[in-house]
Amino acid sequence: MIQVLVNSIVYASEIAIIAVGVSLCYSILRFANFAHIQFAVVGGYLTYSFATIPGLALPLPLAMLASAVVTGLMAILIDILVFSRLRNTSAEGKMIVSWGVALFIRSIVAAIYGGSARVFDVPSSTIVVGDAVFTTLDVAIACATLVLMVALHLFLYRTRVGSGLRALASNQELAVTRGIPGDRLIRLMWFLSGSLAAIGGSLIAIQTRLQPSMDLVILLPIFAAVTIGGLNNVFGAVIGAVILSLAQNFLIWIDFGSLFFGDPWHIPTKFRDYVAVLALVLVLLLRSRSSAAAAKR
Amino acid sequence: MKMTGLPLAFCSVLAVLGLQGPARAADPIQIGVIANLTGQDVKTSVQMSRGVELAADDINAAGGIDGRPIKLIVEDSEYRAQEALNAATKLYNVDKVEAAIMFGGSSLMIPVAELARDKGKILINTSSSSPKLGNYPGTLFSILPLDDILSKELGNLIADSGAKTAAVVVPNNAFGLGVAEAAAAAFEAKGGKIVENIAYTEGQPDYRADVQALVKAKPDAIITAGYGDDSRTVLRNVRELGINATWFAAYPSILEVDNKEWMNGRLLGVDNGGYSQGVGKAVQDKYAAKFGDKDILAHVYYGYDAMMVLAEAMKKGGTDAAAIAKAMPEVVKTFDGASGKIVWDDRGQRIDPPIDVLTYKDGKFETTATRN
Amino acid sequence: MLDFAIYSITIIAVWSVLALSLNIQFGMTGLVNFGQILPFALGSYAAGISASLGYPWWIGALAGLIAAPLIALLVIMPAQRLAQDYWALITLGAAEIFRLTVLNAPALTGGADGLVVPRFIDPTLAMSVALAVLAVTFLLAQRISSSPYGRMLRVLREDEILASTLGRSPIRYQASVSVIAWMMAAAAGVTYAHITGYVAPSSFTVTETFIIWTAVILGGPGRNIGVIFGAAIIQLLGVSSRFVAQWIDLPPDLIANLRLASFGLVLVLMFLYRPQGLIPEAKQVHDAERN
Repeated sequence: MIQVLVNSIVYASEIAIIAVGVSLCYSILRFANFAHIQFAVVGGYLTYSFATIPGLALPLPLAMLASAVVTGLMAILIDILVFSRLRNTSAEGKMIVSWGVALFIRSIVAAIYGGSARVFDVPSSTIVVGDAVFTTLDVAIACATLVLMVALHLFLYRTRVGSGLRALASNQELAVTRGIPGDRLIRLMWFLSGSLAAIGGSLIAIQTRLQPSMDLVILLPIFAAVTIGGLNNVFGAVIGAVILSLAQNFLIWIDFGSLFFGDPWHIPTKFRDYVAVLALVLVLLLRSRSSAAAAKR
Repeated sequence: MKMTGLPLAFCSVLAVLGLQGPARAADPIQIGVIANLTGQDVKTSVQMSRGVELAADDINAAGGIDGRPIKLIVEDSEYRAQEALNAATKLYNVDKVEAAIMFGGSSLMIPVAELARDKGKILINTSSSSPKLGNYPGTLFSILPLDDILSKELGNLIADSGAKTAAVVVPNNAFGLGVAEAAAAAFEAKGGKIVENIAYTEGQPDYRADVQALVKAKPDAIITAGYGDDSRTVLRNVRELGINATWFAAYPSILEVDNKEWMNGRLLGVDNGGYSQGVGKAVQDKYAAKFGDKDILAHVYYGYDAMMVLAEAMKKGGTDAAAIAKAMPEVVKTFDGASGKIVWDDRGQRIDPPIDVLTYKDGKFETTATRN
Repeated sequence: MLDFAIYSITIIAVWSVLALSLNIQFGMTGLVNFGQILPFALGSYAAGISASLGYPWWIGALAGLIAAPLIALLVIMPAQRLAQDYWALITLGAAEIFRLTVLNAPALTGGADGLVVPRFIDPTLAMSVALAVLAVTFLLAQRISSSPYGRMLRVLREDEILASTLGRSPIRYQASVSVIAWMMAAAAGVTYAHITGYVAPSSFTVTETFIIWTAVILGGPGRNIGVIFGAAIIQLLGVSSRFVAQWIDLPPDLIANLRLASFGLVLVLMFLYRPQGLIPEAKQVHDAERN
């Protein structure tokens, strides 16, 4: 039981930190940015490079920080080159372009780093609580995410720039006519979501491994988390990540066999991915029901 | 007949681009290599391809095949069936190779084998142990041996080690499940007990939920089989759970070890043997010298032997596919390669390979026994 | 060489059918289907499963052509009234669910190892069949494009509310167009299975969907001949990059990555500089609105 909670929290942490960027972007620019997943991948690889290139070999936290800054700047660059020119394009148009950007970035990453996996060599020790086993690394990841999410919350709700961003999200035209510098804030939004994704991607990479194909593994859980939380609600994405993670881990933990038939039987772990996809589809279907009902009223 | 217009026009475009040249007797002999250089399982695949390269270097240094040097044409399959077919079609039709050496799972190997059979060409399999590959006698020859004999040996080894209980942790595919079944049967026949069966989906970044059940099962031994990056993640996740069982692996040399200190003496296995002897040792040294990489997987030897056997068959029978197919079973009778002696059944599947018992010590595998 | 050309044309024909199918969904109607590979996979697996059960080819073809529209309705009916970006996520999710299902149901689908399908031994026959399927699809797509039904689809694409005020139910058009388009893609899938002689989950990933998207955006969304042109360019790029790699002696993995990168770049650049595609759609929308 404790074990399932621990597993859920660690997974939710990694997903949430990337997912908030998707909703941040959606709330302000109104499109689902699929290239966001690549920010996480690029961030992971940059951290790896900063931490391992001979002569540089930064300690891991510094390497992550450097990677976050560079990835944030890359997100701004992509906005300048691509998305800023498409402000008046339809949401689905921008979404399709974001796939093009994603395909481009992932291929370049694969061309530079090759297809083999890279592994961070992080020493960690095991912690035992009751019958739950986890590592110091797990604790570090959960704490890092918590700190970042609190910081993001304080930034959005306690600073002038943050409230400017929120104003931009709730009503862009009104915000701009009131003198809020829209373009500069949009750049800031790109920087924030790019660097958060970089940290999230690095955490996943440290916990598991780096591979150009990791984007397809995290794509659906992240979009499921964002969808569960409501696409344009920044902290909804965090809640979505937690719900999704709990659902995934509990479903494979529950002994359905003993409950119904007598012999122990668990849902095989390979069906974990279904939970993400089914959650995504179900939430969307329920939402379409309620919006249909609203339309009838 | 009207259907030929379009392809002819297409051809002329390609011909203008200078892609086609008539073959002459003094020309090099072209051999195809199909490997997934992008996509999944890249490291193993690249090493296989390098093994072929080393063999081609050796053959060319010794004067080639009847004076003709070997030229390799390497094509990427991206680990996708269509790209593997694109690659094979190009090799067989445009480059006119008579034989190709291939790395890839059965989902790639089988469609290419179908194609090779229909075109009357040769395909040499270095990586897939699917029993379905026995359906292409005269077309497909496997350098990678079938798993059942080796898996049985693995089960016996576990029982002999004194372990009473064992858990199975294998990838959820024909290879993993096949090894698990044969090894478990041998272990149980000697009085052992299987306490947990775990089959994981490959390509996941993390397997901690999969291996969680080991905490309760507390096995003495863990039976495993698996490739590169996945196996490393599995080993790591199990280590992090604090499970202190001995690992018994089929083909331990294709595993990636996660933590050298922790695994020291904790990882045993059986593998196709002979790598540490004669030719295998020489290939190891050449590999380290040419690629500056000491981290060597068994597929280097398979690639090397694939090329060597093929060259021997070409020397003996001639360079066209039919002659190669005829000469192949003949030449292996006297062949002693990097992966030992080769015994084929009548369907070109490798059986009864020499088997090594290995122990992981100080960052590398030591051969503790060899059974020929 | 001739065989290779025949093979290339066969592959181009199959992907052209997929591009046409996406074109009548997206190009004409504005439906953003990010799971375009799903009906293709349905057709392929229908052929594969029926072959593995020992049925003749036409049973598989029939099963594919029936399954695809049914699944289309299953996916679409509940998704009505959702904005197009949600629509994209639902179709993406549906395609992934199918891929995971075939991966995890080895008894029926062979799992990761896939299924063997009887293949056309004669490459010319394979090409003829693929071209025949393409011809039928193209004529049908052209017919739709020039019909009052097609004009209505375009009105729907430009302005859903206008379509409703004209007394048309958008969902009926969206559903019917999806049914037709998914049947086309399923036909391509059946053909493809018999061409390659093999179906496996790795052939039906998100990347494949985006190769189709790139073809449509490149060729000209809304223009049937344009998207065929787009599909041909994209597939030829794939085939020819192998030769390029051999000439200039670059590692093939680098070339493969650069090729995919170029697909992404093409998609972005087209949207930025020539959103109407290489062969743009003729302006019919305004006529429809005036009528």
